[in-house]
Amino acid sequence: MTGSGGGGPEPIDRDTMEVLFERARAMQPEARAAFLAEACRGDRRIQRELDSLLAHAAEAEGFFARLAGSLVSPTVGHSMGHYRILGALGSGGMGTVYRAHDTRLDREVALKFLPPHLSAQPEARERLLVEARAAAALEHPNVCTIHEIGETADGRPFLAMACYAGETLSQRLGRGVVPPGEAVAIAVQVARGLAAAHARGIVHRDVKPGNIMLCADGTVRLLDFGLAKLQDVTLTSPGARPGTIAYMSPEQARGDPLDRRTDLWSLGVVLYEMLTGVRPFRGGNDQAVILAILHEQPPSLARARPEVSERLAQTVRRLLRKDPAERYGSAVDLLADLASTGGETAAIPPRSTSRIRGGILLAALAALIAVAWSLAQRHAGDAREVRRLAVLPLANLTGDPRREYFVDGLHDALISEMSRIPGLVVISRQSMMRYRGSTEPVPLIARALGVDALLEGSVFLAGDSVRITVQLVRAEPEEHLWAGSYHRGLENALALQGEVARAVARAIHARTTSDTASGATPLLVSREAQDAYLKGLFYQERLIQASDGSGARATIRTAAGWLEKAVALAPDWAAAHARLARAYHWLASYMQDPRLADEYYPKSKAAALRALELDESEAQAHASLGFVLFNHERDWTGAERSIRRALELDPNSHQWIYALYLLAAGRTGEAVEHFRQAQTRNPLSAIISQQLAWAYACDGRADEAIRELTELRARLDDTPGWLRSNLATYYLEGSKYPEAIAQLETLAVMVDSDAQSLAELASAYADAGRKDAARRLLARIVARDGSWYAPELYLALGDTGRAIATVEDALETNPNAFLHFRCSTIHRKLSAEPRIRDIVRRLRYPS
Amino acid sequence: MRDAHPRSVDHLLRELRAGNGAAFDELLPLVYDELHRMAERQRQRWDGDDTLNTTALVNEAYLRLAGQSAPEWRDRAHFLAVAATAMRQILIDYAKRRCAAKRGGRQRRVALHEVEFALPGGDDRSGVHEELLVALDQALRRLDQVDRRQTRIVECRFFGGMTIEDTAEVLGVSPATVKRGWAMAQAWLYRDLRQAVEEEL
Repeated sequence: MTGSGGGGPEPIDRDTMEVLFERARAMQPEARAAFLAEACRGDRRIQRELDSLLAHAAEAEGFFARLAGSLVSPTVGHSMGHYRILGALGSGGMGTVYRAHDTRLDREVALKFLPPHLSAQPEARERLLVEARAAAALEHPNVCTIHEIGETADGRPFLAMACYAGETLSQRLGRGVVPPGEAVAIAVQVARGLAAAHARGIVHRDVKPGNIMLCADGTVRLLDFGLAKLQDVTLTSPGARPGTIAYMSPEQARGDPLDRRTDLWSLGVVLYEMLTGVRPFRGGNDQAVILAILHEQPPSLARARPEVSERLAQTVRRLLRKDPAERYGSAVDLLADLASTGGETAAIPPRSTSRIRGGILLAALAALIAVAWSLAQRHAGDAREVRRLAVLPLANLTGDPRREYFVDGLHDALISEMSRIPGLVVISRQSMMRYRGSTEPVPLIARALGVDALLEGSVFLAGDSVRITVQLVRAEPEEHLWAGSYHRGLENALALQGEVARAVARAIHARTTSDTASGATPLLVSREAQDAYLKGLFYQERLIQASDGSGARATIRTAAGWLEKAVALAPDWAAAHARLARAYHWLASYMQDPRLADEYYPKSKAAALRALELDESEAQAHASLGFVLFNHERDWTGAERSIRRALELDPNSHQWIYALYLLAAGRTGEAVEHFRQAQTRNPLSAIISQQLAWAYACDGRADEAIRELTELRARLDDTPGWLRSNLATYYLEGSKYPEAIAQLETLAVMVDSDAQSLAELASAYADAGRKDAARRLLARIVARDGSWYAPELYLALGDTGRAIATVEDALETNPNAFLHFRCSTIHRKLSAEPRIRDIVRRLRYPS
Repeated sequence: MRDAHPRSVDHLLRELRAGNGAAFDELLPLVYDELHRMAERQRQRWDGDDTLNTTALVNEAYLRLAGQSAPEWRDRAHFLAVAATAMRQILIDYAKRRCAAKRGGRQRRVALHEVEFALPGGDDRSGVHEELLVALDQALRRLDQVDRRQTRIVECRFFGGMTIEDTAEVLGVSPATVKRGWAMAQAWLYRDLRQAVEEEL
């Protein structure tokens, strides 16, 4: 048994075989042979063994996944996320289905776990989940409602579906044929469900008795939409066909592309089976069944069931035409024909057992409601404890990544609505975005953010309507306090936000200030306007979240463009004007570009004033107005009045702007306080930490500035350049020269000869007494450009006159840079100089 | 009456971590007993038709046996490895008993179509998992002659429900090695199982 290569230098060991197996596995089958021949170096035995193993690999994985799925399937009494398993409902080709209790929404659901090996093919899985989500968006009385498509902690996809009392048609068929009238009534309802799905371009692909639920209330519901494709993926080899091929259409059996007419064929098979008790195409094995489907005519219905009318027999024959073009063109056409079978369309007789079960269900339901009510009463008391709240990013269940802006917009709106609740601190959106798609447990998130409760939810889009589901979960003990579901036309999506926010507010026993205010958007604006508005908010958020300034200008411009469009479409919409004012004041200030400032500060003011004219309670408009007033017009009293009004209306969002105002006004102690308040609402924000540190430094508290940044650095994955350079500045403030120089030298290496960091390094050298090194660096910087940072350097080198001249120059070119100057080290060092006092007066800053 | 266990389990886990392989054999009966008792209780509570949630069982057993004294994460991995072996025995014993009950005391070999039925998409209603498990156990014994490490990987991954990382930790190899071994072992076992069944025909 020694291979011909056995005499070679190194025999191939098991480890090498594993590696070769893995590599070959990843290749296209055609490429494998050559690869193995080469890699096995003529060892034919090993090559054959690997070849044989590879031939079994795909089936093997499926086999183990299936077997393991049955070993580690969730068992009664266990919890998967917020679902508690109550028992098995049955098992089918797709695995076991469980009855479970949704502890968040307090309802019973059916849980279906998709095969775990799907996770091994991420792309296919993603594509299929998108399809399943599209199917989940389908809401129709004859289609089983899918509540959620989720993943278990170990990455196994599952569906949470509505749980219906009743039985499947397959179970019903087990008791014998179905009377023609009842069979038609069932087919009619199935066809209605199919019509609704087909209208959205969703093909079921697996219509069969096991997927048709006869509910106790007489309705018929189709299960497992969009899942047939998932099942296809699991077909790893031609030998492994699904168990139920009897309902496949000829085109499906051939592997041809499918359209809605495949579902009509399958429904024909189901109808035939209901009427006769046997399937129209049979055979001793799969191949024989497929041959019959492709080539044989079904035995005459009339002969098998004489009481079936010729009309109905004709309908079934037409459904079972081999050529899709000869079948009904649509489920709607079929419905017309089924309706005309006349007296046969009897209703499904409610079975006595169902009625009894229904009664029991009602009683159980009443009991549940009573329990839920008493719980709610109890929680109402506890809920007062909610003082700090975080709104988790909403889950986008629309199945369309392009809808992200819509979902994000809703999230933003929810946060700002919640922020209006007096006495409630709401964590800002920026700190929340890292939790997008997070599976972290509630208590952990709550601890990280220091909140008592979390609001979480999902957005579902179905055609022209939107469904928002929200749950309020208390963190410790983890308890579900409240849940609500809102379903509206897209036209009212914004009004819906206010409604959700107010409902939550009631649930936590707080009164929103917007109960009477018009700010809750009762105004009806067109869908286009809403769309533009939400897109505008989306881009504004993107800017806030960007960790660096890259692409900022384009992002703000895009945001402003969408908001301009919203305003043009809905000229009386205060909220849109207010957001536009914000976009403009950012454009004016963010880029430090004097031309932009001259153009956009007035625009921002105009937009803000227009918003306030329409609705005095638009907090954002007051804030933007205040920003323009102090930053551009130097109207310090007016600015403070506006910003304080914004704070009064919405204490959560505008602390930051007030802090900036205070900093610019030289009220550094107060600025620190307000930055700290902004931070409690936005605990994870790097920008706020940065600015708080800045305020500390301006307030002469360098040590606290250093502490703040050191803490921030521990939170971040790596140390950004600005953090190093700020840290260095504060080290210098505190006369900690070695630390400062260490940071700056790293920085100078990190960002190769960046003027800013070099200037700081030079002034650090100077401050540390290394004047020669400082001068050499200064020469390099000045040769490149007259940097803003140079004055500190001149000062450090003892040339006060030139330092002051540089400041005058800089402020002459860009008066808006004063805010930075005012809070800089150099200002503190030079504030007593008469020429600096002059500048301050000239620029109309309070001294 | 099991008061002595937590301490001794802790002790043995430390030994195991220190590289004392004999501790594995000492631990096995303790862990087997605990898991078996818990599995029995679970089976009495619920319909015998229900499958065991091995992962939950093993975790609960761990908390009972070793959880009192804030054990190390590494200890948990080693415990899981012992539990995987114990779980294999328990599950195979159950499967054998259930096969016997179904077939009136006679053990039956699996038919080829039953192997195929267990493939994804196959019709699950045949309920041949027990037979398949018994056949898998026999295939695993054969694999053990060829590749000891792959056998351990299958035990940890399949019967112990362990992650790749945990498996790598207890076997003292890299996660990549576990992944490769797991993939090849599955192909080997599946082929062996099919061959065994085909020979029987």
